[in-house]
Amino acid sequence: MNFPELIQSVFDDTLGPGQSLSLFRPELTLCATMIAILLARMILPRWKTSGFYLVLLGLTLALAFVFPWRWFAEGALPGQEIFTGLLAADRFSVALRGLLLLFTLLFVTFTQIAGRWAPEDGAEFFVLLLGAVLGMCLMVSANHVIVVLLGMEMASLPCYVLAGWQRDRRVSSEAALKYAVFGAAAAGILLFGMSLLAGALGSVHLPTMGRRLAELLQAGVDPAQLTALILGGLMVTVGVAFKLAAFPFHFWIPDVFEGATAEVAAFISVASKAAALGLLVRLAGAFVGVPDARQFLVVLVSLLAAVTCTFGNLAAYGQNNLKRLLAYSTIAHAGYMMMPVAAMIALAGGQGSPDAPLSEAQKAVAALLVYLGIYLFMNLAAFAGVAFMRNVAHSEDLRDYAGLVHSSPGFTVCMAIVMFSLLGIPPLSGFTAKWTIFLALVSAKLWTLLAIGVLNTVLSLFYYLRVVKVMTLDAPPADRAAPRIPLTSAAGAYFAMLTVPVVALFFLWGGLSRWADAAAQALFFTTFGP
Amino acid sequence: MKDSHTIWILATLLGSLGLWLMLPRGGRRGRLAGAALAVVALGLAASQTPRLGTWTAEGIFAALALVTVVAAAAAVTCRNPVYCAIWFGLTLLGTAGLFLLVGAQFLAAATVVVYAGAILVTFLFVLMLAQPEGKAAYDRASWEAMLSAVTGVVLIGVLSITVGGALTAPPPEAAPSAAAVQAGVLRPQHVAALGTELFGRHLIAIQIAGTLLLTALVGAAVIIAQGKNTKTDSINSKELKTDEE
Repeated sequence: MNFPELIQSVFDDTLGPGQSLSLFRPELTLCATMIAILLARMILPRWKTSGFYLVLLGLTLALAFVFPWRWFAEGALPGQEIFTGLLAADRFSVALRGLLLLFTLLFVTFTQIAGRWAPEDGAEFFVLLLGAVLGMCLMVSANHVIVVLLGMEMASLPCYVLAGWQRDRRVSSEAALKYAVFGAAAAGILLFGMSLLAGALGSVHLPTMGRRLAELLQAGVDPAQLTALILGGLMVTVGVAFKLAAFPFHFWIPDVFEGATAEVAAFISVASKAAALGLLVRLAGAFVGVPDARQFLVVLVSLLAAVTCTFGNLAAYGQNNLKRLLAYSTIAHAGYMMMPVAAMIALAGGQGSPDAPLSEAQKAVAALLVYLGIYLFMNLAAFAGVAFMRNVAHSEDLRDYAGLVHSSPGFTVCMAIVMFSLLGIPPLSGFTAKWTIFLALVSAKLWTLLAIGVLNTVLSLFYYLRVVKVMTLDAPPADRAAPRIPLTSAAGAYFAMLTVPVVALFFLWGGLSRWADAAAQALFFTTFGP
Repeated sequence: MKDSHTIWILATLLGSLGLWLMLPRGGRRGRLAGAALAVVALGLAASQTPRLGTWTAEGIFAALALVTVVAAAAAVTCRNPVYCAIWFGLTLLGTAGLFLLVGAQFLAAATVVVYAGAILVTFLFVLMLAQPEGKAAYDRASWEAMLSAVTGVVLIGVLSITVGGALTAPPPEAAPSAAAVQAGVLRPQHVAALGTELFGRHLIAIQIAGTLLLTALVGAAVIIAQGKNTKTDSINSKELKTDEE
């Protein structure tokens, strides 16, 4: 192939019938916004707040590009590969990218209200944030080993810097360093595992890898090669589990959350988890067609989910720093969110098509999307509450929340709603989220996992309730002024605005569920072998 | 098959013990014994690697492999970080030679240019800039010597057994056909083919990598700007009670 042919092939793929570029517009917009912020800062040094408005504009545009509602109409965007198979464009990736961008939009507003970022740092903060979001968008549409790795690196790298943003605090630098060292090790293990898998299967394209595995297992595989395959699979799991903060690889989360600001913790807790789950669905989805691989993956993911969930809930008991408590709550929720993935793997035997009625496995993915959609609001609200309290009371210690109901009743009510929703009490959307994933477990007949999930909900009751109890029943400390966050202030209004969907999504969950179904329907499960 | 496994496991055990004895742990005891054990482990491992056929190929491979492995062991066991970095450079040169031996010219050149050329020099710069007044105590001893020696050697043992087993008995479906090998890596212009693949099919990955580097650059700029604007940067640093540990 000579140079003109190469150029021609690139043109054909991006602008020709492949239409790769037009489906890639959200990511391109994010890229352009990053560069625009850097340039605006250079050219217009006096326009200090330019970063924020540019980010708002860029994110809104990207969201408009990713979210044409027509794609959720019947049969539209059935799922296709773009950029010569490196990325997958289907409704699942559209839905997850939409969630990520919506979250980022809310998050940027939140940082503007809560964080007092210095203006000259604002630009870098936003560039790093957009870089991370870009990486996460790539993670959820990855269809190729290279994109998996690049997306994960791109999502993690800015987070390392963001975790150490308060450079004059030792805890913050420690958090950044711990995160970076463990993250680099996890990425190395992931890469090692991927090269083993790619070497054993002779491909780096995820669907082809799944097909090769099926062929290899049917033809009979010798023990040494099987060991290499299992080792590779386990190493890839380590890399993904680190991003998910699943049990043996969760240890960085509490330290990082304690060291980072509540804002950054919110970002890592929601966006990073959502992207990692999307990636998990993609990776598992490539191999679920192979019966042996399916059995292996079900056990692996169920075990991780059960242990992660239980550990997170038990470890949250002793925490007095609210950010650490929410860190363990994040671990527990990662466990809950892995449960529908286990159900999806267990159910994915039958094949689906974009037009066929929803298969059970696709319903499990829809349950995951419902959970993520609700989790976005309630976890962002929880961290927003912590950040606003920090700005007023200069503390993240649970003791300083004592008697908050007397000084800021509106704020306390909203915080209580968020805590009850995280717990999953009926008239709140957290219940809807748990209900849908438990239904998915029932249809997958994963009874043990279901029992563990229900037991964990009971376990989590006590520490979420403890926060509410401290805020309402405990006497306020007498030695200092009570913190006041009126709902009429910007912070209070934003917090109240976030609690509205936490309540409303319980009553309006039909819409959310239809949206999730449409998104999951595009996921295409093919089956190989008997 | 069974014998080979036993020998590999023995080599792994001896290797981890030897490496542990050689790592700098304060005293000087046992380093020679460790070196002797490591040599025995290396010999055992070498006895289990498949032969290459001709004597020249065998000799060149043995020389390169020996340089690589010995330099790698020296890189982790030296006390002086500068020596460690230089030994590491030798390991990379040995690896590049091994790549060349199996016909991967591009990888060999990239290893020399990127690792031995750029990254190693950066290491040396950092070491010289970071320690203007002599070496710190924490640089002279190895942390978690036992754990790291065992982990490293066990990883090598498992991979050697697995990959070695897969290499000696390649399943017919997984191995590429002779024609494919001839058209692929054995083609004289396979670097050009690699370029076509990278900038044709995987163009978007290259673009993504570029964006990743841009983000990393901004991150590095943020870290370097440390302390320049602490006055405006104190988000809540002086206010948080939890800071006063």
